[in-house]
Amino acid sequence: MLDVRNLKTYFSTDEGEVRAVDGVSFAIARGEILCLVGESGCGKSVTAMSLLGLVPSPPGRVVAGEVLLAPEQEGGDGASALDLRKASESELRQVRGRRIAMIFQDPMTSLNPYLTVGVQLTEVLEVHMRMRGEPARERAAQMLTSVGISDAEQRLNDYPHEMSGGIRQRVMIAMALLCEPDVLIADEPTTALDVTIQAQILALIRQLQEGTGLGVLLITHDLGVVANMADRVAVMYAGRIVEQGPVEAIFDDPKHPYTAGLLRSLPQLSGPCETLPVIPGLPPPAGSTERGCSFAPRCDRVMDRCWQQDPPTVRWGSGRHVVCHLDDIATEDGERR
Amino acid sequence: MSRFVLRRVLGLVPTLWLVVTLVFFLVRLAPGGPFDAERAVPPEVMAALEAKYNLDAPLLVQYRDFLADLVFRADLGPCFKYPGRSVREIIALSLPVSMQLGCLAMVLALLVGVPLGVVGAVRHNRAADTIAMSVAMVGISVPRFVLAPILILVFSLTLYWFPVALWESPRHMVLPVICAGLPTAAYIARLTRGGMLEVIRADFIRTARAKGLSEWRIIWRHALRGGLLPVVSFLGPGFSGLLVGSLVVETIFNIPGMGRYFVEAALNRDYGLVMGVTLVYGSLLMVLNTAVDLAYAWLDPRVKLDG
Repeated sequence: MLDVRNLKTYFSTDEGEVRAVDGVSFAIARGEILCLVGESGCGKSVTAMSLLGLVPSPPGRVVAGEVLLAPEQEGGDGASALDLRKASESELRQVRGRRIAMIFQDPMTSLNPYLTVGVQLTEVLEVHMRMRGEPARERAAQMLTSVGISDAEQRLNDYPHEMSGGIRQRVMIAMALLCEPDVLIADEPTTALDVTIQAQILALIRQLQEGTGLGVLLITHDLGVVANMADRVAVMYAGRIVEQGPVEAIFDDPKHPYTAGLLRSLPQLSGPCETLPVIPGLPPPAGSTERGCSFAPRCDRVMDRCWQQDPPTVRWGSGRHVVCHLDDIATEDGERR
Repeated sequence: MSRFVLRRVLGLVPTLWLVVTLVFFLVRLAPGGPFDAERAVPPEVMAALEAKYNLDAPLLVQYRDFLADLVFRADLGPCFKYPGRSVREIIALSLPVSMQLGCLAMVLALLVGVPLGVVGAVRHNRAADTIAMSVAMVGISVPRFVLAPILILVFSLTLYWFPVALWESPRHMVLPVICAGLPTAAYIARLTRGGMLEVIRADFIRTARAKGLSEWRIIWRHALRGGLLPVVSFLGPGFSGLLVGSLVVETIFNIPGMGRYFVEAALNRDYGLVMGVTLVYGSLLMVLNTAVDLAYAWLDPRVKLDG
């Protein structure tokens, strides 16, 4: 559905150019949930913003890559995919909210405090579906009901500050799904919510996604969320995707030392309580590494060549790939054997 | 909301009483009196004058009489400088002129200032922003007593488009309104730009973009309300200042407004007139500030007016 190739987004700052997203590629199939995982500041959100051309510019700039969105009707008139990077502003506007919708981390600030929820919902319908007045309100209320908000008709007249965080995030989800988009980008949708609400919101996304063919890009730093939700996982480190593949494969057998470290640092509920293993050090500023592997300073299996050469991309079966020298050796060994 | 308004109106009374009392005693404490002239007045004449205007009575008695006149007859007493005319008459004649000038100037200021500020914010740090803000900076920095002669020189004496002075036909109003409104427009432009810049960076504007709304709709529907809040709070003091008139504009264009009396009355120790203009200005300021609070509550649903 959505095919991202070699996306690069740079920010110019006083300290020079920051390569926040440095050659990221992934694809989301119809009806698939792809989780993009990584520490704070690794470029996850910037990746999401870059897809829809929402990176604040200046200082940000998408400098390279393709963001290919499949045509609306599958196998219809053979229309080719639309490259969102080459699309005009008005073409992009027709994609935003209608074909690719987005929800954000903080539902407290993501809704306009000056407008009622009803106005904010119906204007999406007005802009994309030419639907106004009573039909639009009915559709909006119906959508609110389907995200589990009771008294939807009355709620349309409420302002965001009259709602709790969980309800607001439900409203955001309803707003995103009003036009039945093909792809939903959810940028840490549960981070700002408390734990019980988190579970409800995730279950809601799952429930709305199942059986509809909606592709989801779920951005999170929470591996628990990944385990619950993902079909496939992309692990991001310092502006690059270091490992990507089906969720079971990655959880069972992480290839990249960073992924392995992340998984080790998950607290286990079963078993004795020990000191939680952590990955030593801090992630480098995104894209600051000139040469070699950006994870090398923190890697527990670092080798000489990690400092000198950029790590190769090693492909394993079933859409899995790892960017690491170690796996290069492993496959070479494998071939030799 | 009606409770809020009622409470505010009731609150006007003690505040105005305080203002009146302070003004009453302060002007009388100031050295000199209303009948001091360059040539010494014979003591008998002075005594007669003071007796006529009740200035020879003890201060507290004067205060009591003055309050009684004000409260029961809405009478501010005679004007010392213009014998035979009461302070009320003078204000009734001059305030409407000043208010007309002030309203027109404020309309101009908003029509020019708000769009200029919006452009500055939307095109932040680009050419249009730099131009808009340079214009605004000039507008703020050039005082009205410089702007007025320039306007007169160009549009009256060179181009003959508008009359040099007086307040008679709409054509007479153009230059004074520009002169009174432009500096305010510049200030409003800067306020609008600041407010809009803050709102444009907010998360909900990013949401609006992600919804696929046009830039124009984002500004108009989502940003302007919040962005104009600083302008709205400025309107209380700003508008009341314009409404009571400006000494500079009224003097240069020879407009029979109220602005000049602020200075004149104080210099002449014209006790009644000082009281009158202060009272008008104070009441206007308080009424407009109440209006601003109401506008705030209307613009921002999170603001609750405590009844």
